[in-house]
Amino acid sequence: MPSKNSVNKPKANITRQRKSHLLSKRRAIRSRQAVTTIQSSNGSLAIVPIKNGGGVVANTIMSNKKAKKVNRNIKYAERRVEEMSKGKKGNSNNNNNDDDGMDIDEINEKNKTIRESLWNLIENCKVNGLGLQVSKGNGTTLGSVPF
Amino acid sequence: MALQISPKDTDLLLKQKNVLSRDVIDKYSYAGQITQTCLKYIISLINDSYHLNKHEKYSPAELCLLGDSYMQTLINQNFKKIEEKGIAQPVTLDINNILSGYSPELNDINNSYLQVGDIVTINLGCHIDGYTSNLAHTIVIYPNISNGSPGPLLGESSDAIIASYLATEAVITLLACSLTPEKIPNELIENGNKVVTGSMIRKLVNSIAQSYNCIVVPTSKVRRIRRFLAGQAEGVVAERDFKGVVWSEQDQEDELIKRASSGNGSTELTIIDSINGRKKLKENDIDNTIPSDEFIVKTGEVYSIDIKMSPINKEELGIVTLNVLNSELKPSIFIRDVSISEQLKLRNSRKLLSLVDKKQSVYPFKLSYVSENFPIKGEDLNNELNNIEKDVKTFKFGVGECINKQLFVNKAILSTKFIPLREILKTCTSTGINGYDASKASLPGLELPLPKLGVTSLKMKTLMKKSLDINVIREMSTIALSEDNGCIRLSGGKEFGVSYVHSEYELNEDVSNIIKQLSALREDERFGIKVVECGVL
Repeated sequence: MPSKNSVNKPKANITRQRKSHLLSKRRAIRSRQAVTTIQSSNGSLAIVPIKNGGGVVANTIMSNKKAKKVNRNIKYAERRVEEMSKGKKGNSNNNNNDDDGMDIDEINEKNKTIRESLWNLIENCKVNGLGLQVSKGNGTTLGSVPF
Repeated sequence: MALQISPKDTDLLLKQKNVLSRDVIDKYSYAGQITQTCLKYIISLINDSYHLNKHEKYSPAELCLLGDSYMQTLINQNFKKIEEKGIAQPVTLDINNILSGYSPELNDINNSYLQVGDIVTINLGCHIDGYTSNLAHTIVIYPNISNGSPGPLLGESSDAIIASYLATEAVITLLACSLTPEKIPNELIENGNKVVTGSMIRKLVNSIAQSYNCIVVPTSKVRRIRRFLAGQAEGVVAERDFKGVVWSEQDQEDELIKRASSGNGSTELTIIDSINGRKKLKENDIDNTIPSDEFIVKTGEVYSIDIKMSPINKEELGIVTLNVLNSELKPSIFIRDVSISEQLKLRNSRKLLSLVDKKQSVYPFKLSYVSENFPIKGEDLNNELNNIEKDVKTFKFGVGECINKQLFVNKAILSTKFIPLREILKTCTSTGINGYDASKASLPGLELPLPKLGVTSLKMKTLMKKSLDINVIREMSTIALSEDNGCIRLSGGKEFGVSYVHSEYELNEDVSNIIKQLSALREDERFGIKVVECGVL
């Protein structure tokens, strides 16, 4: 462990550890004190402590705005998977009516179609040739010796 | 940043000064005559030294310098009262796969001689009071006369030479038709309107290229030029009210997608590919810096026709694009970016900048132009060449700082490359479509080479290692469409015929008819179209 005055003292680490230790202590106290009400069978409200069900404890709280965003993205992802499984491509008319329009997806979809069809074109050209002009007649001769 | 000019000045500079009056036509014609004479001079130097054994071989650097010097001498001879006149395009000798910008200085290392079978494009231009005549002509280096009279050039390059020659001549005749619209061939007329439009020009050039298995190389353009606006600073300054047809990688992409959709009958692709040619992006766009095909050629305008063609790869599909040669060849042509002023540190760079500001205009220049010994007087050639070489050496110390401070922008040396389509399709575009290559000057709106595939110019740069070199042929000419004097061809023409070449292909039937009609118009002096060509001084 480097000394207090060392130049390469991992100051950031030490501070973070100290703070997180402090925070975890507070969290532990809070969770011990946390209570909730449950309705008992006879109709009266009982106060019971909340038990930690294990799992991951996060020390940051998600804002409402962020939570909304995450939910919305999950919704989009689900819809995308659904549409892909149906084989339905992005339809511009559909998206105009829908306020959750996904333009980016439409562009990617277009790009994908173009790429696929160009690969097909390459394959076709391998079989059928490039569709070049063929030499015919006497060809073309122009000019004369310039000196 | 747009330059603020009062409406009165705008009217004077952009409109009144561009009216083709007698005076203006004289200036254009003289510029045209100079370019014609200079081209003839350079061709005679090449013939004497490479074909006829009359002189020891000139290197490209010597040819460029002698050409520039000759041009400057001619410019100084006439219109003595006009201050702003000079070289508008330094003489460049673009060999084989090099498209533009190769004009070595005397002390460049890469200054090797021309070889038999080389395809050399000579490009030059001059301006008198801003009225510009540009010119490019491709010649072939044949075996010298001691081996007997040479036969025609065969092979792919000859296809491109024929295609670019025919396309240039056809476009010139078509533009001349705008003076007498009733003579426009019926096959070309769109929607019953007897006017020459941009899409008409594009269609004509593309179909000629197709007949000879060629592709129109990006940066080819048929565009209107105006006083001091001859496309000399494309990519440095955006030009308002741009009028012209421009070919780029986008057109090749469109063509491939069109072929793909016609092959599999996919309707989705035809929706994507509804654009044929380039349409105006915004209606009522006042600045109109983005090129579109929706324009009508009018009388009283001056056009430069710059057609570059390459033979297509017969093995596989791909895109023809341009590569900036930075490491192999050093650019030697610069443009002064007049919007920037900066205090320089080195004495050499300060001296160079002051000389450039004093002697040069908004057109590209080479370091040798600001030398005291330029133009060469021809009394003691070796001594004069040595002096210029010495001057250029000292200027080279200063030019670095001027470029770093963006006072000078160098004109890149571009070469033509073929990138196989499969390599393009294999790449992913993880950076999105926002990256662009600053070293490659492009017109506004054309920064993204393959918009539908989402491939940026930076991505194209990384693909260069998988690309192949291909030859490129260039023909450029300037014409003025005057109401009173008819069509005046400032540069090129009968004086400089096409090189002796043979191609195994012929024009397709439909385009052949159009070409026949156009050439019949040119030949018939009474009822056809008269194109007056500027002669040699």
